[in-house]
Amino acid sequence: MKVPQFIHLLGSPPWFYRISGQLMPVLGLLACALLIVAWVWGLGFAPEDAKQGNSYRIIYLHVPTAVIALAGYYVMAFTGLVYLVWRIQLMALMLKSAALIGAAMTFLALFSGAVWGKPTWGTWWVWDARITSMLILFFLYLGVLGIINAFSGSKTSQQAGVKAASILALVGTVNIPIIYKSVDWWFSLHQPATLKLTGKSNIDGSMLTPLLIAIVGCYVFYAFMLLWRTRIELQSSEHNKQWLRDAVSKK
Amino acid sequence: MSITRLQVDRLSAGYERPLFRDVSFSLEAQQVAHVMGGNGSGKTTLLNCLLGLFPATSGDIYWNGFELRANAFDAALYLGEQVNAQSYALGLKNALSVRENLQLYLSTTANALQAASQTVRQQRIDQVLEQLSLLAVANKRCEQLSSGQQRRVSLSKLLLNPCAVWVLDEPFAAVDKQGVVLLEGLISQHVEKGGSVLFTSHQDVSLGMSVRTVQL
Amino acid sequence: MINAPMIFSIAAAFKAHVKAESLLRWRHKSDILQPLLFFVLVLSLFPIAINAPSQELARLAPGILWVIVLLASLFSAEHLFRDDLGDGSLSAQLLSVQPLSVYVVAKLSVHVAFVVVPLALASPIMALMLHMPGSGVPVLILSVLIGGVSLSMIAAFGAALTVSVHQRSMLLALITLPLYVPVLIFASSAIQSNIDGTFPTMQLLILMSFALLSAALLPWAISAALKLSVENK
Repeated sequence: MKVPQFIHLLGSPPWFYRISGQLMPVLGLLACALLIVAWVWGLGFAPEDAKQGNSYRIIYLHVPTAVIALAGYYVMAFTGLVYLVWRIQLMALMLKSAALIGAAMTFLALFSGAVWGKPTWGTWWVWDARITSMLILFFLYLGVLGIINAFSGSKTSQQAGVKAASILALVGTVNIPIIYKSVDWWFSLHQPATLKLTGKSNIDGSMLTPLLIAIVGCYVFYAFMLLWRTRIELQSSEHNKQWLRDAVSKK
Repeated sequence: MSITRLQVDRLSAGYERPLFRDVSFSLEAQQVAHVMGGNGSGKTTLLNCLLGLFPATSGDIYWNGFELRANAFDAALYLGEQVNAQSYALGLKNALSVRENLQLYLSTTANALQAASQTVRQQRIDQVLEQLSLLAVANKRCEQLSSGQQRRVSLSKLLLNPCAVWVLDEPFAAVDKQGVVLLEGLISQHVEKGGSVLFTSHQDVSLGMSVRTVQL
Repeated sequence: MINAPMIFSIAAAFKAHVKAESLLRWRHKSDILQPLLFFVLVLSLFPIAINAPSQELARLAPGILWVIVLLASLFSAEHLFRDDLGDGSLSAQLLSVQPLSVYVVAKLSVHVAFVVVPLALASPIMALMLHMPGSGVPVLILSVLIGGVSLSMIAAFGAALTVSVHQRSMLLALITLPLYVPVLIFASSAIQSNIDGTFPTMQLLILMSFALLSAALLPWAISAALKLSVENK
């Protein structure tokens, strides 16, 4: 199969190292700026919620991390697909990074959801559709990380592990919509709709704008983290290569 | 004209600690190659690389002039595969009888007997079993056989399915004198018919013919 | 003789795999009983642990039964490919011209026949032990039969990914159980719905579609995972 040009470039670690080095400061600053604006706006200036008071403000952390958690799974599955098709080593490193960051984001979403649930529902944990789906997503991430860890040892074995993780991520990709729909259907059978406080329809415009900024900021932050982790993985896997020594000593 | 069955160019495997590096050799029709090397020198890994069961780090492998791809081994038969010091993966199902094992083998590989009737295949299996003096134990389960007999069952696949190239991992290990003679006979017959044999062994083996040595 | 024409028939290979696999299972009859024994064992723990009146147990029964079916299918699949990897027959399958999925589908068909069918047949007795209303029983059997196909496929996928790994039980559960969730939901909902008086056509059709989807797609994923496991051995 003919390899598209940009994927071909991605196959070159020195190119990635150089470009990511240039991109990271930009992404990092942008993420900081967006998140600071969103959070100052959301926490300080957005109006209080009629029903929940101030406790709803955790939405500015909870929703962006939840969005990224799900999108991150698709990023991970995509890197896995590219790795399986074109055997690009860099994609293996990126898949590992995506799995780790995604799991962290999912955990953050679950944790912030629990913190939010206590004042709102009077309990840390509710078995509603969204939370349950998020928990299953967390397990799916842990499965991918578990596979990568289990195939440690020689480098050949590690590569087999990343391939196994890629296949698992792809199978998970087909499954996630099914899981989400099933869980959603199941819990909507016997639960009143009032629990769905995060429904976007009933959120006021003045609350929505900082939320959207926070989501965009979180995406940029994700991109920054992904590049950063992948660079670290690259440094440890190519530590004895000449180009890396050159690149580091140039600084 | 001699046919190049297998060509290996500068093949390496293993990363941090290379198992072997830049191995090149070729195997032609009517040739026997002996892969030599001490324990842990990667003999089995080399065979696995040649058959696409293990990824090589660099180098090229050509079978009959075509680059190696998975599932393209109508021409080769692989036996042996050492698991640890004592046991060999012979590709036999212990709870199945000798005959059942060979029937399974005939039905799940490409061979000239695929289209033949059940009786023809049965006769062929009996023929081969007689040749290897296994007829008496044909209906016994493999787990009830001695290790020498088990090896002979696995060798009977060589006769059932006339593959051009035999790839044998440690065929002379744990075999008694009689077994060695038998195997030598099988190899020389195969070579006379135009076949090729690639085998590994950590000891010197004197076959009654010229053997090309590949040192790891 | 060396250049004799090579012929290969997928149907014959499939039949031979099914026959050999059935013989192997039949000769280890005690292995057939193990999932059933596991079923009864875990089941008996629930009434002991919960210690509730029988109508309470009856209400929980569909969920409890299905959780145990999930676990039974998980553990019975754990060693599905272990012997084949160890005795070299998996390598032999990889070298053969046949697609590996022929072997996978044959093996799993036998697995369904020897594990899922007995579980389905035994499930009414288990339902009785939990005082589940009799109206749920026909759907329980159906749901185990249909859902069991997806479960076997998913568990086999997990088993294929982890067969070359040393500490595999926990990892297998971690990979497999999240993927089981949709089957669990629609199966227990189907039983509940029948007890409540509506025949669960929709749930059973969805379970059927899961079974078809997994039977169509997962054999490829399983084959790919098995190739990796041979590399990693």
